[in-house]
Amino acid sequence: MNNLLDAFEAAAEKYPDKTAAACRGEAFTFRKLKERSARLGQRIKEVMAEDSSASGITLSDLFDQFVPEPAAGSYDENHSAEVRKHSAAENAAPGRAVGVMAGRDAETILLFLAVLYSGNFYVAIDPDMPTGKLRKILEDAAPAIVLTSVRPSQAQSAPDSREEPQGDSREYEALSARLREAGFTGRILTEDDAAAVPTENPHLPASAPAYMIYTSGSTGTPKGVLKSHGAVLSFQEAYQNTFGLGAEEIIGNQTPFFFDASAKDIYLMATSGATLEVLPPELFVFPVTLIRYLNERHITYVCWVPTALAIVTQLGTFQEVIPETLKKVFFVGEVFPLKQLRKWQETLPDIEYVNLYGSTELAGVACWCRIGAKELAEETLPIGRPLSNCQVRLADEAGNTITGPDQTGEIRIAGPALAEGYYHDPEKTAQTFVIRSSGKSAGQTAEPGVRELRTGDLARFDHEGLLHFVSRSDDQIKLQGRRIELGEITAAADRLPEIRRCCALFNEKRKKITLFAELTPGCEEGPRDIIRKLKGMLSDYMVPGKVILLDQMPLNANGKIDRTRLKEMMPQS
Amino acid sequence: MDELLEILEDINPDVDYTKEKHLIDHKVLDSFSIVSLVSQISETFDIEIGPQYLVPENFNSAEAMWKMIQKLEEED
Repeated sequence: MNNLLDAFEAAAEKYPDKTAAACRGEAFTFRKLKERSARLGQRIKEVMAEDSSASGITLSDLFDQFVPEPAAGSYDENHSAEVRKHSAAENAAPGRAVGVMAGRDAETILLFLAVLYSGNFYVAIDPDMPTGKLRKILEDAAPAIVLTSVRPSQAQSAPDSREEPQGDSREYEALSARLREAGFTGRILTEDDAAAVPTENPHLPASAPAYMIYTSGSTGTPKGVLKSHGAVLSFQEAYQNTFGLGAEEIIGNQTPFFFDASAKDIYLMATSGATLEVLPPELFVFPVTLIRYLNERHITYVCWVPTALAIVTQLGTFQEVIPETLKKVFFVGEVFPLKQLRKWQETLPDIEYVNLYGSTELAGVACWCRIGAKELAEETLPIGRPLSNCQVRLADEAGNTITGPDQTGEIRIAGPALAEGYYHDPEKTAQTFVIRSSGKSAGQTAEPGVRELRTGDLARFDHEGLLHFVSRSDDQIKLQGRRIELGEITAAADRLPEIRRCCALFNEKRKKITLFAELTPGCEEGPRDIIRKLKGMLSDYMVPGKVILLDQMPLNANGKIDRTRLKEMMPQS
Repeated sequence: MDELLEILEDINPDVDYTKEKHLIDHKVLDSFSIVSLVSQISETFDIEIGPQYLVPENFNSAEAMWKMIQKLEEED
């Protein structure tokens, strides 16, 4: 199978009357999802045809943008030229960006599939993002159409009506006004605009772009990361085979659809015949209600950020209710606080716990590790070994492979799941996606001439050959000539029972390490007490010069520690 | 009550807690702020908020939280 729609149609044919996606009582069977998305896909094609002014992109356009020019001596020139030729020959499919306001409902899945049926790729947009950021994304992606699950008012279709807009329609008007304010001049469509006759599956090649998600860049300008049908399929095949995931799963989706991690859930459903339950976000405020909901909906599998799972044990939920149908608890996106994961494992030892490691620059994840009592007894959780569709190696600063245990190197990933690159940013793409040097690399998986993702994440192998995440490479600082991993300081402080959550950062101006920490409830330690305890755990030069205690760590929308906000809180004088 | 309002203002100072009756429904408080709120209330009032009390009705307004705190203090 080459593309996501072929796989989806195979699932829909096998399980036509099974629920594909559901949220708050709204549910679509596979049959309904297929028919309705194909009809809306037809409408998208018609509107695109009317709008001939907007220029489409082709894959060779993309590829020419993204493949770095071979630099003499550092890239394999022949290979690079060959890749270009191959890509140009294979490319036939045009693809244009279609925006989807990614609401938290089952219908948004239908909108995504409709875009794929139209032969284009979608850009999943956070409906609540600030207008300034929305403007940047709309300028960059330049969609001619934006889809939404929010409906316009009846009053709009009947101009004589003087009725005040209500509920959903007021939301539609607010959305439409915001899109216009952000400079959008194209058409806004909903499922009500679907054509009477469905379009055919365009049977796109594996290399055709499927979707793009914007991530917040460190400079404040969002970067669009584009993924192909083939990348997503390659991940799903490896993932489903490794963990025995299939049509019997009922997925409890936590991640909002404008975050890349949600694509794991969506395409697990769409390509295997599993059911996707979109969990209403308010459930996560009260974990007792959340776990009851999981039981009611017979959820068997979740893949959440650790913070969402940790809240369950932090608030003592298991004294009141226990998950009854949950069999697989996977987590990704940050390090799971060990104290909380141990509580999960002790209460529910029969559940399969899997730590996943991935990057926005590839479809799905690259590494995995099953976590049992043995792993939980260690000081750090392994991210384990590569998924079968990925080649993973550690490299030193010169790009040479590191194989010895306990040596730290950058995680580099190769394989079919890699993203196409950053949209409209060939320079950044060339820095991040490199053609592996043909020179000095000596490791078993380091054949030259392969396109490789530089993750910027540092890791080490343990003596059993399992990978352990160490820190971000931009976490590495030099102080008084010594190299320091800020992640190591965070990890040490995290082991103190008094600390619930923390993050060590470097204050460039004052040349001081600052630890931001949130205390465990009931603890009354002051900054000096924490520093004194860290002195017993870290080399002198690594002990933070300052500890700032916060009532609550700032978190981003996906529940990860918001480092940008912490940096803003850094004392400047 | 003043102590409770102080805790709430620390979480989000831009809300009039004497008037707002839908802190959860209007997403003023999210899952991450609830964890912090529960631990601070427990600490300040020396009470234990069991999971059975963690329902939207008890957190939608400062008044509802205050009632819950008083009930838990009596039980203690």
